[in-house]
Amino acid sequence: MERMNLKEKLIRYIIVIFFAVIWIIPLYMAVITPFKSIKEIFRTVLALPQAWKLDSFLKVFQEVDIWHYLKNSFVITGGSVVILGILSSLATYAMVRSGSRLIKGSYLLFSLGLMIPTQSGMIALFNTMQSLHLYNTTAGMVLAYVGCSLPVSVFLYYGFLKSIPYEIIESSYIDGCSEWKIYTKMILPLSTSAFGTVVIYNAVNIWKDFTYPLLFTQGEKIKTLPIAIYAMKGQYVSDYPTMFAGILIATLPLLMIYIALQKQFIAGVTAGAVKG
Amino acid sequence: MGKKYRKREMQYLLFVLPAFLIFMIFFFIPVIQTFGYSVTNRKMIPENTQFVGLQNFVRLFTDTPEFYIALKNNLFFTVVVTVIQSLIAFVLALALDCKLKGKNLFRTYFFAPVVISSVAVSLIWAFMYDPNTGVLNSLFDSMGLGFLRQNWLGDDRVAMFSIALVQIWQWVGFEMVIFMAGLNNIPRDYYEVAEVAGATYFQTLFKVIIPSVRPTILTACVLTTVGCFKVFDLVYIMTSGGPVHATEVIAKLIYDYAFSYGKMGLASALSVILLIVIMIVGFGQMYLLRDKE
Repeated sequence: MERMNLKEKLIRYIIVIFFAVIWIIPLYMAVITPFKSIKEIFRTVLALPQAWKLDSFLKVFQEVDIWHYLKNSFVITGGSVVILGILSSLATYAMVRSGSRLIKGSYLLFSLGLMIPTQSGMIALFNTMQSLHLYNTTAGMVLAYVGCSLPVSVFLYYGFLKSIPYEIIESSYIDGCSEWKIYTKMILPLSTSAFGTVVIYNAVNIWKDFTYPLLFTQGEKIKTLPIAIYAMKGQYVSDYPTMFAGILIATLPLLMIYIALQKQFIAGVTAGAVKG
Repeated sequence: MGKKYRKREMQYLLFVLPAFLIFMIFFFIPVIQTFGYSVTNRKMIPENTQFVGLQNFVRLFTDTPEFYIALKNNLFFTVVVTVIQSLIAFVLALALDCKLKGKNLFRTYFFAPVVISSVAVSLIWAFMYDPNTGVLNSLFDSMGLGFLRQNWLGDDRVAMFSIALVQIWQWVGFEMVIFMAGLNNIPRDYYEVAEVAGATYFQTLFKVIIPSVRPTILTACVLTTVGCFKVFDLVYIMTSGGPVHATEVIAKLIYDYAFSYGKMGLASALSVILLIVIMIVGFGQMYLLRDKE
């Protein structure tokens, strides 16, 4: 393995580059299309734009309130993720430390939740949202996301919090520290890596999610980016440059964060993949 | 001591409570309720809801041709995606399983589609699939492969396959990363032993590598399978189940029954079926993995 000859290296590169070239076509189309005119798109599909026009981007910013949707996505995703990080670590800490069967046993319930796909409760959740007057509200979206993401988050924390050597903490009991103090002063600072995993895994899923906003929101008020892009499909039926300008603007924020933090993203997203 | 212990347990209870309540109200109870709905004739407006026993299930199995079409499409989609995606992902992971320049770059590159929303992915592909102006047909034309031209999303014989390709494009990097982790865990001396024994690459592959990563392969396949059974966004956005139910899938039917036709009872019965199928796949994995270790 260590002494790789040139031929082997070449074969490996050929395989990877072959797929990389195929895989780039959709990305390439998404990037060049907004810079072309409509006529150009139909005449030369694959060619680079004759002149890199920015008209489509200007048009999208004028006609579509991207900032509003960006803000909505950010508030809902950010809110859900922060609440998830705190509530799940708090609950998991208690499950790991408690001597009571009731509290320990709640872990089993969360584990069961891990195996149930999110869609399974959607129909009844729709009624819950309406009867609690949470339909089409930011709070409602956040609570719905927190509810269905808690099992994975608890699962991600559990392994980590279980592995902490609690002998260090025992001494704090003698000093009369409350559990809250131990949690905020010792557990939270210790578990930043697990916190990061929980945040990244959930942030990616919630940011991308199409189904919950499709079911639980309506109109412009708290419309998130995925629904806004979907709406552009109808608004710019064959005006592909404008539609793709919108898609590009909506996709870039998360993609850039991903590129900056790729290691953490890949680790986070695959760590949570146990969810059914 | 007893009093102190009780005080601590009270604090733990308070720690668990908020998470527990939100989980129950916004996830677990709705799942149970959906089971409840599945044996009623509940509509969008729940007045006059009656218990109908297993009627919804009987109706699905005996009187709903779309159900079988959707089930067949889900199976086709699952098999196509799982087989092709796993193969490509495994080949890529094998190719990258060494000290190669740019290894991390390729990993980041192939994983990138995972963080793009399925709406964006669907719209990009729908644009590429356009029979007249799409890039796929013009690519085939320019390569002299005009006979491969398709009405990708409009032809009921290829539409489901076209959607499967999109799923593969988006998720191959994810499976590749799982395989790469598995391959990385194989002890290096296994390879040395194989080399000393004079094994060819393919002998090493089938006798050493594949047996060592069997659990990883199984896990990756189950994750892919479960994801395929839940497919909704791609279908809803690209074809909306058409042409004439040719790309209908279970999750899309649930949505239609519940939110387009207001048949909450029937839709719930279908969700229960989907849940059971997914549970079987999950437990199947656990059983297979336990058997080997």
